[in-house]
Amino acid sequence: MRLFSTDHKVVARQFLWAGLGFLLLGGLLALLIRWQWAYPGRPVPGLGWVLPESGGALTPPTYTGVFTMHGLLMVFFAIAPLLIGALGNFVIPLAVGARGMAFPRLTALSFWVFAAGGVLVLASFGVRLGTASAAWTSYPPLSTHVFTPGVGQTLVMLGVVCAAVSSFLGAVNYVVTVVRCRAPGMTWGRLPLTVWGLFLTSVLNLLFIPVVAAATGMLLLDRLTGTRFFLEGAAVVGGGDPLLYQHLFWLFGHPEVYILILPGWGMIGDFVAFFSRRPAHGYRGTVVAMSTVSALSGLVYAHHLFTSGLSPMLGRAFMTLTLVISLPSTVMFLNWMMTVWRGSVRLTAPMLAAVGAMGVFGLGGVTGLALGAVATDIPLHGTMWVVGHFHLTMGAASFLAVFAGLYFWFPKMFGRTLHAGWAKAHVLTSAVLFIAVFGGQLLTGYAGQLRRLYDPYQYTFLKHLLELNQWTSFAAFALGLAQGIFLVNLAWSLRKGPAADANPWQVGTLEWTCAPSPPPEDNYARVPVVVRGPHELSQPEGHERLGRDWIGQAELLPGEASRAAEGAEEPGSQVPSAGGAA
Amino acid sequence: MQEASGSSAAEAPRAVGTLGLPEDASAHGHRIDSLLALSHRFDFVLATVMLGWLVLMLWRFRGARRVAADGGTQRSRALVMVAALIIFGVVDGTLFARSLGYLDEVLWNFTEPVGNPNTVRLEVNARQWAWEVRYAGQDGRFATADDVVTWSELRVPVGVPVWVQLTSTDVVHGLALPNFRVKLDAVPGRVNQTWFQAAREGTWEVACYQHCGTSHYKMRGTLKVMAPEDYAAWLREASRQAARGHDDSDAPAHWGWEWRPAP
Amino acid sequence: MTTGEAPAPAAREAAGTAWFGVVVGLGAWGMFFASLAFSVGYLRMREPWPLAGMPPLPVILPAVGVLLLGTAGALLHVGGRGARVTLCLLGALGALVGSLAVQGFVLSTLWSAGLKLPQGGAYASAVYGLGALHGAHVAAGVVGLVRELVRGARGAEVRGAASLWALYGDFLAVTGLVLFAAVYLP
Repeated sequence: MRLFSTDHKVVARQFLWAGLGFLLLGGLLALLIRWQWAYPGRPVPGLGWVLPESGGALTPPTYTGVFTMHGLLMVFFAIAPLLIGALGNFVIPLAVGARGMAFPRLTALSFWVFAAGGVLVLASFGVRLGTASAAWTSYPPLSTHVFTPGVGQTLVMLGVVCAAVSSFLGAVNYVVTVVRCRAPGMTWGRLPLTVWGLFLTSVLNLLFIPVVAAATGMLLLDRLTGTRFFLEGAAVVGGGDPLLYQHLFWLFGHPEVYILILPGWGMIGDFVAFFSRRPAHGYRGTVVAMSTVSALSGLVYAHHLFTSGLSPMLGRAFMTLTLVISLPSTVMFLNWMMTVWRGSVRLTAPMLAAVGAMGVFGLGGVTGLALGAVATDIPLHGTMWVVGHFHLTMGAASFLAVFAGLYFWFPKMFGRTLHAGWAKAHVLTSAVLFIAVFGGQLLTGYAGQLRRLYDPYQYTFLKHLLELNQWTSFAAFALGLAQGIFLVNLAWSLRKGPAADANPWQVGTLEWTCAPSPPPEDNYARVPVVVRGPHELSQPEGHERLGRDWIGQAELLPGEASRAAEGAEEPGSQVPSAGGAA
Repeated sequence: MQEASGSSAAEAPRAVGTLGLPEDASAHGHRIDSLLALSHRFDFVLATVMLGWLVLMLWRFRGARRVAADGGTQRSRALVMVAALIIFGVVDGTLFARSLGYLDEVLWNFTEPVGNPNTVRLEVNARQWAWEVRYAGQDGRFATADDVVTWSELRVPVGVPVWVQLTSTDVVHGLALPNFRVKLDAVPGRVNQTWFQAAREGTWEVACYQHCGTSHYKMRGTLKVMAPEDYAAWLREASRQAARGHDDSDAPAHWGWEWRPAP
Repeated sequence: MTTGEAPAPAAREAAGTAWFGVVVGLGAWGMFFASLAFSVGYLRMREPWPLAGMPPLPVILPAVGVLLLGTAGALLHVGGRGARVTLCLLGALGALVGSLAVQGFVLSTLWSAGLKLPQGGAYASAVYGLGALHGAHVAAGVVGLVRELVRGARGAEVRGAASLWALYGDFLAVTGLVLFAAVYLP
């Protein structure tokens, strides 16, 4: 594997390993938080060598760094690279029938910019005054040099800018690849839903990553050069406005949660169809729903600011828009359900993960309703209820989608087969424990526990939640341990897994039907001509003429030659289908 | 601080053992609570139907022999739209309408505190890591020599509107009165306003809900709801002492502002 | 299996794809400057502009700077189509450097006139901060054009590259105009 490879499949694997590494780190930080809430101030076993002064116990400064970095690492360095960097890079060119990304060098660049950001973030742990500690949102003035003087905060912000630029470059590449490099006959209506999800994610990345870059850029100027965009308060004359940052941040931040789940939605849509052995129910409706959610995602952000002194007019408008976004989400969800209905379900690991993702996403969705209305948001705002809600949607659902995608494409990525039993065991335990952990958070939040407290039990009205928090923490530790199943399975399968054949799942999309596992460097010896949709399963003509329940997207049925000629004349075929400026 | 935690410990047994919302001690909070309870019933029904249906389907259609080979019939697609619209209309519609009712009649309706002659006005200044609370004193005006200032201890009389104006001197804080269903950001450079009304006497806790630095978790205060005559007596005495001890040169102590008009 | 396959297309429309990619990328990155302009508008709503006691901002010289950016873009468009690509690249390079010089002159004059950081608050922050952020983008253009000139001098065909850099020139001009309107216009 060349280090500076421009092959999208190699870059995808680089993103995969980097993302899994950061996931491990972010997960360990999460367990530290859970430890602190179960045993406030008690030394963490085995952590004495890291924190010699406190004998391994978390101190308030350490704790703020821990929860800040947990959030930042998970959002920018774990979910994004795994779901978008790894699976996006791997799947998009293969699934649209291209021989590579539109801009191969940009693919490599996006990874190396990401890696540079990762190095900056890791370095921040080693500097004086420690790493960033102003929460993942980095609200000024707390995040300015006045209140967080450490160089760690600056390093982390630069690292986040790198991750953002990496996502932006990747998004340019994905969008251009999907628009310009589809195989002949691969119309928009024949794209797998995964590609739709990744495409919409990329569009959102394109639109909103620059916004967070601008906000973080101005914040860095405030920190480093003495500008006053966001600094205000005592001893500041004619300062800026901290609320301006919050508007910019959430204008990015809310679409970001959709950025981190849209690829997962796409995969769920595909996998429930594949493993129910029938076409996706209401493909068009699902695509329209996903697009509508994407379009609305930038228009709902101020529900994060319901308690910031927002004007009633804005409060009303954003409450309306926020609630409206649940309509397309419901349509999409019901379409998934209806796909399984009257299908023939195969409980493979990717299917279980997809269904698990559906379940936790559904729970996350309904628990968000109360946060979308201003009145009910007030008691829940800033509590663990919010934490539980968004961990279910963009934590549990996104990671289950990552595992679904990884289990599904693993044979294609590495040419080997994972142990199916262990994969299923991992998915099931993870899904159940996700619900236990984040359900526990929802309960404590409803009872009033506020987020980000070093010791929640300082408050009398939260004292009685200690026991519930301990049980939640036990579930979290178990969840952490359960990932060992995944790691062992991964390590074993990479070395000893049986060789995978071209199409182990018996589905019709291009990567499974027109390329071996793993595909060669330029994917397809000859660019496939697509003649049908991605979910042609259980079709009568397939049974009759091929004797199987799936038909490849580029596969001609006996006596169907005329359709190929037709397909070749479609507008899509005018588009170049190979990697562009190599 | 010692005294405060002592007195609120006396209130502690109320909360023990429940996983419900913190006890409601305000005059209007019950409206939020009932809406939230309703919304949770919706959540519960939706979640149960969803998970139940999902598991049932996986079981029922596992390895089924007969498969519908279509991507949904016109009827089933219409069914999805109708079902989504009904769920949306009922759940979101109720939440929206009743939330708006609360906002228009309570949260954003300042005619009550403005119009009521007994309204108590408080200026709160958040700082790392304490709440400074300013009372107008005997002259009824803020930023004057007889202003009373307390640290991390709010005192209000029971049964009258309490009108709060809130700011911060350093970073963004969040004023939470969990038992009164009040949450409002304290943002440097701007004055935010809200109001509430205590329904009964007692001591409750004040919390910060925005991460504001290392000791964020210690930014705890108390809210003492007093009988009106006790409150008046306390304010009279405290105001007299404040006027006596007023120091013109102590600039940081003079953070008060002229009372702002309602938003 | 009988799989429908077509021979790999001989002619790649690489140029079209590159053009589309640059348009998508720059169009999206325009959101960066839109956010900055929004921020300035937001801050201008809160306080008098210019801040009391601070020097007012010039209009003509910054406008000249934007005009120079527009000139650079136009020259690059000509170079991308016509034959005298080296000349056009040189001219555009000159225009970009000129615009940087004008911007530098404006900012240094303001600084000596008493508009300083951090005393100038949000007002001075907008002038210097946004000037610097946009200037960095112009500087990236300068580096890019120098690179193309070097490549051209070594005998490489740079007309295609010039037409892509023309888009970047347009981008600089448009975003420059937006920031000019947001910061300098009364």
